[in-house]
Amino acid sequence: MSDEALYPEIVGIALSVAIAVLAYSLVVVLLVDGNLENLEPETVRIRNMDALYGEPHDGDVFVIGASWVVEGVDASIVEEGLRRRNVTGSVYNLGINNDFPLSRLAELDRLVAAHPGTVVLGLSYRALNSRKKVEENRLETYYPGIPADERDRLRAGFAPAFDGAEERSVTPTAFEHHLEARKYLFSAVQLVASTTLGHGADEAARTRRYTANFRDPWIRGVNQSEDAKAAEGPTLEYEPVAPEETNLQLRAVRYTVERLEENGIRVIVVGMPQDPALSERIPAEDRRTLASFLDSTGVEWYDLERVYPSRYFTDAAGHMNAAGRAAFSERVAEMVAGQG
Amino acid sequence: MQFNSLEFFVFLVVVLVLINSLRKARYQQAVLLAGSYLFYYATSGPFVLLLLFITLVAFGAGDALARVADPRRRKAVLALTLAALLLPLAFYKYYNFGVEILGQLPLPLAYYLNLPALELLLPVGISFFTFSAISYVVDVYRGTLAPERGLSRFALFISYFPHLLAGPIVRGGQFLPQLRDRVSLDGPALRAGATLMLWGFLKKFVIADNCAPFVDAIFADPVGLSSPYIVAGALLFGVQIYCDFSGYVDIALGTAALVGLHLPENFRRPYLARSPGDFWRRWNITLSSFIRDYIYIPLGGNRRGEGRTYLNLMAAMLVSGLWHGAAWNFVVWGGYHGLLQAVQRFGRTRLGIAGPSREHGSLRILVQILVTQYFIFLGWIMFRVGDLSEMLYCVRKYVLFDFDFATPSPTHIRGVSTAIEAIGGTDPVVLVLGLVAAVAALVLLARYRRAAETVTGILTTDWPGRVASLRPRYWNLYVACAVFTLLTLPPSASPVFIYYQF
Repeated sequence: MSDEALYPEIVGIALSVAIAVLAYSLVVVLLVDGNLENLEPETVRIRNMDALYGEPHDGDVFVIGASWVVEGVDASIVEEGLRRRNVTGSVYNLGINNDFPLSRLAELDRLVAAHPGTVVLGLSYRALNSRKKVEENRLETYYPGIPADERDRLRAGFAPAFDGAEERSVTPTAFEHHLEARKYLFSAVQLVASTTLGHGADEAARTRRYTANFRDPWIRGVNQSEDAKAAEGPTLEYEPVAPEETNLQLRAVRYTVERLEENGIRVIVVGMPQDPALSERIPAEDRRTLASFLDSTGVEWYDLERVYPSRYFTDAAGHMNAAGRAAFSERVAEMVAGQG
Repeated sequence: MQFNSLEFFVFLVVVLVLINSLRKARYQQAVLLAGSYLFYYATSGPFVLLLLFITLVAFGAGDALARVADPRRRKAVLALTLAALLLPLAFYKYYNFGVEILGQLPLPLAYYLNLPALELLLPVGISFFTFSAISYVVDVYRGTLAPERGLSRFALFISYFPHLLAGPIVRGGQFLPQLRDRVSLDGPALRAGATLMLWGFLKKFVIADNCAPFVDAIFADPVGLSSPYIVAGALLFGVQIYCDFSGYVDIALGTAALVGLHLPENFRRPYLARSPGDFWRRWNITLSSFIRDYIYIPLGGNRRGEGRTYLNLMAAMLVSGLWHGAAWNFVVWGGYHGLLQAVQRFGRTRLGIAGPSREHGSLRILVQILVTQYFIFLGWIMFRVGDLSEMLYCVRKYVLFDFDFATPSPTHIRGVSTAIEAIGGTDPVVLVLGLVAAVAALVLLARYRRAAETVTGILTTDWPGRVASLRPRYWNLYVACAVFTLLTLPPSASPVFIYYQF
């Protein structure tokens, strides 16, 4: 067939693709970008992490860690607590679900560059599993823009944990950022639907969650029963905490603490509160390992693992409910203010 | 270089433009060959030398077989060639597995050999291009295929980039004749190819990749999960692996079709299979037919008595399992399918249970499909769960369904948990009534010929073919909708194609 027959098809495809891209952009602009500030703070936080690290944060407080931090720290309560103690500065909950010390290394340079006054590192025994790996996609999803030399350093120092991580630039372009917005579509549609259809503000707020496509919102509104916790506790994945020589997570904690303190950033490590159903399973030896390790780093640290009763947790995994969050956030404010 | 990467699209456009501007077939083939090697180099780096090695060995063997007439010498050439072709595959894919097995044997040999486990990176696509090369050499040896005289054409057959990484396994007799003439890029070819590519992208990036997080969450730590979670995991994995693998093949077929080249069909609605044997005539067809033609039949097939037939079936399916990966779960999976086929054969030959027939009524067909798929999806558990004790747990929960919808998932499998807990929270009377209504609806559907024909028509229609033949404005609408869906619905991180690892 001649080229004349080919070109109409090419023009048709080009036009169709252009229309699809335009439609997508419209959906993102109308549904996501327009509602981003109304979405769950965690969503905004993850999405804007790049921008956040790109700005100076002298005197501010960054709280980092896994879902225990995500669900256990209310930045506004900490901020309010600090204000009452005449400490200024903004507080940011930078917890990321399923985070662990090793994966945080990927953003350490940018965290140092942001230069907050204090970094509170929430640690849980379950995040110190030395077998946990940094998934390939995690580098891209959570840590866009890692400079190439930083990735090389990460690989060299922590190579065993980076199995499968590909060597390629992960600096996102503006278009890629735009494309990334699709992961907020579901939340945005829910938000618009719930407000448009006349649900109450509480209902709308409850559904404002970061969620991948096809996933239901993760709502932790209700505590599990004590029986359910008791049943769940023994089933939770738990790996003994290996000593630093063989535990990349602990090495990552030491490296993080050293890098932050070298750069004049105060570091506070907190042994995160745990539900008694899980605490029962933590061997005394693991507690000794972690304590002696943290002592050896010289970092300021607090062990709050067994401080709170079961009613402060929604589940056996140790995620806090509103009451627990309020109590723990107040305690974080005390620690940051130097009254811990 | 992933099919969904910008690099691949730039690469593809450059190759297509170059091909379209060249008038002579050999120049076009040179471009396709150079492009294929560049593609493999971008994906696998220095392993491109291995691809070259396999190509030269198979080409040389074909040439030698054409010149040697003595049967014993021909056999020797064949044996040496197969050894040379299989050696890299055996080393990269099975060495560590062999060391593991040796280490577990109480043999003095293992002690004296003391072989170390090596950190080996499996060259992507090695199983596919090695099998293509083997099929060529064996076909030439058997005299069913004339040896290819042009090295560049032969090299293109082995390395043609659409099928290089994850199949389908292409045979010389299917592909080499297509290279005799100039390939052409024209309107209908572009439309057919683009339709199929988009179809494959939708399967992979919208369906398979959205199933993956749930499947991963369920099978990451399955012990302790109740039956509904295990069954949901098996179902979702069945959907994931089908859409992932057949999606890749659709993209490969579509890419080849852009220039008018045809790769063999690899899937034919496998989840409508009515028996285990039927499943293997529909799933990964090129691998199944390779195993049938080059392993099962040479072993004697069903011509050497009943006992030997069962052994041959089992051997063929074990090879199929091991082809997928050097791990015990793939051996178990292969053995399980061998057993299913043996049971099917036993039922047919000894118990007089008739196999699937065109004469059967819709209801019987429906029951045959459901029973077959129950066992196929049980097999997916063995395929997916690598740890044998965890696999046993999952198999037990799948077979002995515990009806425990109430125990919350300890791993917070969002979405799946919500659905299962919703079922668990529903009044049992409503559930039973719903189940009865669903079964009644299926029976009624099967009894009404027109309804059954409509459903069958929907399920068996060649939708990409139908879409490709739409009028331009509707076809452009398909393209726009597909691209919009691909921009909107895939998860933010896309796992690589599952079959890359094989």
